[in-house]
Amino acid sequence: MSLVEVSGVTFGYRAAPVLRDVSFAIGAGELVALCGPNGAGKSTLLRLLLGLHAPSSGQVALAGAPLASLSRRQIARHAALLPQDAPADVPLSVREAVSLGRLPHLGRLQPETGADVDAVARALAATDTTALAERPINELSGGERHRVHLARALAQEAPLLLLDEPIAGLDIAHQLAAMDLLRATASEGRAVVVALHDLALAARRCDRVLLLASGTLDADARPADVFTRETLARVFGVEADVRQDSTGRPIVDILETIGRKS
Amino acid sequence: MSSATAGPDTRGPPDNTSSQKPTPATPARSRSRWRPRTVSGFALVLLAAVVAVVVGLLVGPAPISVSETMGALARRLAGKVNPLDWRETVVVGVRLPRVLVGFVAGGALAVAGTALQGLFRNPLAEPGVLGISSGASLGAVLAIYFHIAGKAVWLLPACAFAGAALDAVLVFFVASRQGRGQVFTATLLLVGVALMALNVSLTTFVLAISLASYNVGREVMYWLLGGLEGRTWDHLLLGAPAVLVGTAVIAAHARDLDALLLGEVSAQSVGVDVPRVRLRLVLATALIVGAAVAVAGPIAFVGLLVPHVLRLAIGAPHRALVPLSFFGGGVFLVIADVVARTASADLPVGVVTAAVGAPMFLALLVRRRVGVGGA
Repeated sequence: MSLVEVSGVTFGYRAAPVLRDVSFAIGAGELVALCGPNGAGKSTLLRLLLGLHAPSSGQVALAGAPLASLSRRQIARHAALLPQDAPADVPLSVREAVSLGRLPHLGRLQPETGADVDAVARALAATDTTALAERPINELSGGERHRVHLARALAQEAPLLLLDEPIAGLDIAHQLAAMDLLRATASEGRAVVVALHDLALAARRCDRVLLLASGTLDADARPADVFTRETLARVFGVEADVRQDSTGRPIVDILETIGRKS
Repeated sequence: MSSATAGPDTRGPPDNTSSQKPTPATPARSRSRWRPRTVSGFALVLLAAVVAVVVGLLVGPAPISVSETMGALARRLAGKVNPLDWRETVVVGVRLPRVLVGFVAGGALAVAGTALQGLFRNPLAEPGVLGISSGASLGAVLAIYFHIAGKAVWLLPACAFAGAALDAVLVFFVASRQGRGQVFTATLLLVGVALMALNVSLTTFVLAISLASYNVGREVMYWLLGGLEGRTWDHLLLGAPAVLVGTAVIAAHARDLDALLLGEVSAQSVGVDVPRVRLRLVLATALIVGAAVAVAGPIAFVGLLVPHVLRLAIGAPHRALVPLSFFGGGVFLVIADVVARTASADLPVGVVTAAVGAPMFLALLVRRRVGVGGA
């Protein structure tokens, strides 16, 4: 059974729909890139997967259960979302903030168990933030803070991990390390959906690309089939050089803008 | 489109990036237990609470020594009542209820401030912003004006509480109508501010027309300044249960308040049902503010000052901050009342809290950043 299944979802904030008739399913072990120009509906789609918006038609199901039938807590045990704009002025220590990822596993007054402590320690180690554990978040740099928020999402240990531009604020080494981490997370039998602006990274590191263009699912395929010169020109309005490495993965090199043809 | 540029990671180079794999739990298994500063904070605040209560029992126009005070308390605890001993009557019948009412009211206001600042992620949120305390004032002032207050000691607090409750319901009704079922933070604050303006103008109107009679006008004016004079065990019985229930509800949501610090979407991601939690916390806050204002009058600045001082001093996890706020607010109001009693027989405690609180708050602002964050 797929971890998440989206069938015929349409959604709009006011009258104009942001997403139109989107359908796909993602199973365990997949690392999926969610790509598309600004305003294509990537963040909205991630929020729909977490049930933060209700689709005006269609349905989202987590592990076979329709979202509408699940409580917020049940959803949280199944899916974790790392939003794009994580606040800076959080007066908690790094460990306290990451421990909040364990909330869906704890009763209201139940103290943390050994399993929770271990999950937090693993998340800290995985994001290279163990050394920061006792520091207050509002004293960290932007990149360190992004890694802490990523650690919070990891500590939740949900089968479905949704990330909205998790690497935009990281330096190049931490970007690559974060992608490796997402790959390893997917290999553990979880599913990872990551919204990415960096098409080259998406092409190199992900198994599958969901390409959103003005609210519709333009493509849902392997990177080699999605990242072609024609598609990049049509959807993003850029001229690109696309080659293949020895394993058949596309190497995307964006050259310049040519204006969108649509 | 590529964002593969070096991020704003300015604090030193990344170290051992190659170790970023989900390794088994070899790192030290340390829990996010109480920080040392939190533990010493608790010790300090509890000590201060004991000192404040003892000082509150000892200070007053009648000279009663420490041993006489303790003797009177011990006899009451043992069940031996001596109605002829005036010292016992003063200590147990006058000073003790006054101190306890002050402690509970101060604690309630500080807890309400902590909850609202966390809930709205806004350092300016305090018990006044939802219009609840001004609603309580209007209820109390009307009770005095229509001579209801004199009929029984519990009638004025009851009217004040009714005003607060009516106001809380109205704020939520209007805010949820506007948001078509959903209640938004900004809407809630704006509706609260609008209702506060309405309450204040109506209260001023009642004050103006009641000035025709010197006694009624004086009583209204005096109540509006906030005071603990003449508070009885009835006031405590009326206020304390509501405050304890509301504080317990807020304390039980400590982790939700922490999660909200990460932002609304992250809080929902970790399973916090934000609309429902917000409704519960606003209602619990309305309950304790209504109860506090009903028994102690509108007392300024406790709800703003105490949470910020505690955040700066000990940091922010709400499981510590909520109980500490209760004791800190209690200590602050009891000490302010002692100052009011010592300074002049007629000085209302609300004047002292504002006179002491405002400069303290300014000093905090100048010395350190005050935010929902703080430290």
